Amino acid sequence: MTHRDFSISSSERSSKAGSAATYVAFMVGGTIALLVAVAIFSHIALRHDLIDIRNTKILNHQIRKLDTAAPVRTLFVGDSSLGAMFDQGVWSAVAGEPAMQLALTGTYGYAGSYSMIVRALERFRPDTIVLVHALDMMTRDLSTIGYVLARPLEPLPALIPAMNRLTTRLSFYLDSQIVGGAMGGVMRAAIGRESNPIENGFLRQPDVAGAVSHIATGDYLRLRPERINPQKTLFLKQIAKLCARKGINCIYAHGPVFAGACEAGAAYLQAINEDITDAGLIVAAESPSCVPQPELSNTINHVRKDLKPAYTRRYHGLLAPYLN
Amino acid sequence: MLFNSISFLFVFLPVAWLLFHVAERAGLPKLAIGVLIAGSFVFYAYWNLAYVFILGGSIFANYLIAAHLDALAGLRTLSRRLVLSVGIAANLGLLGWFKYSNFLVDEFNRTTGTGFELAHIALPIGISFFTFQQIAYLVDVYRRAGFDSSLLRYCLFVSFFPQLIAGPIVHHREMMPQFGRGRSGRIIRDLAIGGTIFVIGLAKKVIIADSMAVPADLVFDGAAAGLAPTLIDAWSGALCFAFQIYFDFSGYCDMAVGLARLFGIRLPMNFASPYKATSIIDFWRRWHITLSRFLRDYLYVPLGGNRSGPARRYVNVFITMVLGGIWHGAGWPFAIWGVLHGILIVINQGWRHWQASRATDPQTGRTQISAMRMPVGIQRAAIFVLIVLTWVPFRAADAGAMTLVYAGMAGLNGISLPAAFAPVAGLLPGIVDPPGVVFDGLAVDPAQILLWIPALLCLVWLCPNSMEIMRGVRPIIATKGYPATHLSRSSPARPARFRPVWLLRPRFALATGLVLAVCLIQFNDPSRFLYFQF
Repeated sequence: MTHRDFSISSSERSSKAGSAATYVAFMVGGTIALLVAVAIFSHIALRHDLIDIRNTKILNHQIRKLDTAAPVRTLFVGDSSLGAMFDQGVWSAVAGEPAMQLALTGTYGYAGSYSMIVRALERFRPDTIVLVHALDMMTRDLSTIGYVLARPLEPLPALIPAMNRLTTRLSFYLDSQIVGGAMGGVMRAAIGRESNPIENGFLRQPDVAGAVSHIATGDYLRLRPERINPQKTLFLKQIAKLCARKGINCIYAHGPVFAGACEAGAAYLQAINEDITDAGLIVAAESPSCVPQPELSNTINHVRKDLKPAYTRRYHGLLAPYLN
Repeated sequence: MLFNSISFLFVFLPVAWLLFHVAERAGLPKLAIGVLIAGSFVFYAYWNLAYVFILGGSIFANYLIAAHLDALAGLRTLSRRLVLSVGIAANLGLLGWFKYSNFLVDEFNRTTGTGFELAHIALPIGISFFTFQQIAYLVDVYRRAGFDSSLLRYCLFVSFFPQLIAGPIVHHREMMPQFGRGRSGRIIRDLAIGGTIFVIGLAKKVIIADSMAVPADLVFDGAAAGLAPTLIDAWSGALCFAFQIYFDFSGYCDMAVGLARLFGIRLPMNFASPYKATSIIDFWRRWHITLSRFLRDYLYVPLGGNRSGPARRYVNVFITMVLGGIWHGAGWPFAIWGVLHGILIVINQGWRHWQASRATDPQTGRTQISAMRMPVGIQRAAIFVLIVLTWVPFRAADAGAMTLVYAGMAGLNGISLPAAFAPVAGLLPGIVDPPGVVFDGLAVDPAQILLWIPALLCLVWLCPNSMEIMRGVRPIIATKGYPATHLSRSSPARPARFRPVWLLRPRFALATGLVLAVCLIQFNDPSRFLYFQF
């Protein structure tokens, strides 16, 4: 085998080496320049509350709600499975006393719930805190981005494993969700179009009924014990510790989910209930409420918005034995 | 360690690259080879420390067998053949034990009703690749086609990390002369070329293949769980998988070529725009070229090749394809995939034979004007559809899932359209709501069907591949008998419509840098390459 391009003259070689060095410098420089530009863009978008991931809007809404709300005895935190299902007014009417819902979204995960509990406890002390999360939450990644977004809390190193700590700090502003959210948010702001308006205490759910196809099963096929992320209990343990320290009754309930997922995920449900109990929380054993397909909205964890009152009542019945 | 992970890109690779070039510049080629071997074993140990002993043991044992074969070079064929047979049997035994024993025991239990139990045997990653490479080496030493007494070079030939896990299945004649030859004057140039090719591969994997994996998994995992995909979902899933595996493997091959080039080494071309193939034979000269070459040289030819008439040739090619299918994994779907390709290649060869006989005038022996040929675009499209159909058993978890997806593609599971189409159907009764159509929505995001699939079809059919773009710097080693791997460095006499050439210019560097930045932003959760499972 011959290699013709070895036989170049020394002057040609140094010229090629020079252009290669310039090339490498431009390649590395271009990469760094773009990453820095994107990070600065994300940072500015975050500072101006323009990042529109699912969803900073709801975080700000809930923080504002908390700042002006009167103390309540029962506080609900969780993700969109709670937000799409829970009607604060209906609950208060059924329970005979006011309750507050501070649902965020799946992006924030358990970290977001922890953040909202800490924020709420700065204002008042409820008797009961109910966490409601989507059934598949334990299969998702550790919500470090949710943690950073829902800041400020105690320092990151105390809670998160070393590798995540490093990458979270380094990559937060370069995360594709954050960057995409920043771009979307800035574009919407530029054209003056509001995204994801708040309706009945949560992000407006789309006007689609039964939009989840009977085979849109990707979300629940992962409901298998081997898919549980062992890191997910990190924030649950923090919540349990906080509840124990403050003497608050903290309950964990799974949000409503497509009936097919209830069937497919029975072994998974048992396994995560054990994990959640081990983390120090009480699991509402009657949850989740299994939803027939026609009652679903746009995901297998969201009920149709016209059914909010019905599901709020259903969860009241389901949680009544656990409430103080 | 995945090529598309932070730990590989920012820790392992820079350290290995730096140490290698320091050793080379110091004029210590053996140390440089040692650094690459050590790096390759660290890379391999990252998957599972125990695997290192399997890899190391396999390398050492094969080196001893090859040395013994070489020592017997002057003796009678019989004793040499015996040594070779032992060597091949040991390699196949190792591969068979790790790859097929669980499957065979399960099948035996299923058919006989017995209950033999075998502990689950984890497949050492890359074993299929390094085993084949070493079998080829033993056969060549037996044929007196080259024995290199350097254990160091042999060790690197087998374990070189850019191609250790998923190929290309390299040949000792194209690799071992490249080791330790010293290229210290070209470090930066190799960095520029290798880095660029690596970034192209990374983009294929991170931006395209991983995006296609989502809808493909949705449909095929659903089928594995017993859920029947409707017409559009089934076709979308099959098409998305066809693009997923294309860009996953193509991306991996580019990354391997780029990584090797960072160390001054060229690899053979393994992937040459296979969806541009105009026949199944052409497809196999473009897809996984080094496997195809191995099967041709070390299976098809020893079986008799085309030396014993057409009928025997068809049998040989069929056996070769079935074994090639089984090589990919233990399970009936892979065997079915091999059988399908075997049948298609036999049909293709028969068709060619028939066409050739028609094209020759039996009276004069002269070649007649060729019969009507389909336009290239239609040939490509037809072969593409056939290939998509054959990917179904390759991806399906089992025969049941395969049947469900095929049934869906045939429309037997009904047709579901997005719910938003329902009002339109109401306006046009009998036209868009024929019997069997429901408005249950689609599992696959319609945007993926409408945007990604046409765009990717244009990319794979109309655009030059990465090696063609890089042809000015001779990025790969061409393979004899595989025309698509022979890249001309000069511009063609009659330029095609779109033939960009990469140059060492700042604007190309900036473009590469921007693509790399986009890939890094997409780096949330690195996923494995599909070919790592083989």
